[in-house]
Amino acid sequence: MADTFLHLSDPGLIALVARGDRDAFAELYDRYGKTAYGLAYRITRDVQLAEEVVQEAFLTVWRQASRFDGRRAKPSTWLLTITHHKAVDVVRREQLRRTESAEGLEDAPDSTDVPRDAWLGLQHAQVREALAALPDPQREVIELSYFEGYSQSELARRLGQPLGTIKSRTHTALTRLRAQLEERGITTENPWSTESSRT
Amino acid sequence: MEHRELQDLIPAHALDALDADDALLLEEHVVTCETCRRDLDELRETTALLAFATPPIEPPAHLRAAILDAVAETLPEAIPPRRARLAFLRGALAGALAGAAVALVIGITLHNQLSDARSSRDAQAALVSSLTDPTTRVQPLAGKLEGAVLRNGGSGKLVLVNLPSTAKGRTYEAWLIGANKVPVPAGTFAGGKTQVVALRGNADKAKTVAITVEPAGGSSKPTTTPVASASLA
Repeated sequence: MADTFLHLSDPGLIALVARGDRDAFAELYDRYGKTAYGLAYRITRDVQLAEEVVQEAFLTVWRQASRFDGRRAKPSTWLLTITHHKAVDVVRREQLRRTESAEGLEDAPDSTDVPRDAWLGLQHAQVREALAALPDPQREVIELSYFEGYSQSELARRLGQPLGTIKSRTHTALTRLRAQLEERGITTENPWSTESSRT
Repeated sequence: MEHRELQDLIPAHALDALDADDALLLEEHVVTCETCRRDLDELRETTALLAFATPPIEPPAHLRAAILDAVAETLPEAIPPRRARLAFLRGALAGALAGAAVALVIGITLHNQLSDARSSRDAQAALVSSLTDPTTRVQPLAGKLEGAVLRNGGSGKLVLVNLPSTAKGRTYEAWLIGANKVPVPAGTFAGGKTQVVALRGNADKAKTVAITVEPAGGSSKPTTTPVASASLA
């Protein structure tokens, strides 16, 4: 049944979800479930918690789709922001994380499914490249906050730096990351961002 | 906290790295400060991309099932009224519990709307009787058009409300899509305030009803993507 929705863009799907369309919701899950689950697992490092996070995130998407504002974000950005937020909440609540190894992305989940989806695979490789192109201290603040859930004050303690330094480093890091991503032409634009790209 | 100080919190917030109290302050601030809202939204587009730096993992099948089950038991928050004149209809339908009672309510509502629309008295009578028939199944349309599919055995009707006119030389066309996924033409119709369209073909076998905009006279297979559809579960 969800086949009916393959032709629909992400904004189209969200509009249907806001009206209570479950098939459209299932299609949205099939598009972004892998990314959301990969992210949740990366942050929580726990299958059970990752499932909890993804479930909560998608149920929030379902309940709040009518609040989604396409002028403020793309649907995928919105969805992944919700997922990230929930994952960080769980990590802080559970006082998890913080194996002292901060290799970040290198200790990737072992159940890695080699991305079958070409777009997802390319996106994965390019975002990692962009991240790798940052100077170490900048990559470090991004990885520790985004993937490990450290708050700014925790970062300041951990890195032995004044809070102001952490703040400005975070700012520079994100500005550079953005430039790196743009240089590679990476955006959250994907095969589903606009109508008529899938038939 | 001043605008300037709040502004400094934006990058960290885009990474969800603020402590809860600061995050709350900033969220409140961006409601009224357009500059900060735009900056935050822009940075969120960047940080959301970081999600793709983690290897995607196929979630377990039981998770998909659990999420879809949970969704079947709850309704999304209501769409603001301006966006959904027929929200009351959809809300009633989504419950889909009290068939006859629901149909009666819709029947009366549509009856009133039809009166406005100068439809013929006979057509109104037929529609209301099919709506009040407890064996009629009602499925709201999803997409850009407002309305519902009514099905009673093999006979199907499309009810469309506030249907915009098509461009000159174009027409709406309905399609029945069965298990073989091949759309079968089910009739063409023009825009108009309220339209009741009897679907050609056996609606009982259809899994989906879709509506496309086609060149005048209709097509034998869809040439554009559907503007609305309904799944006939």
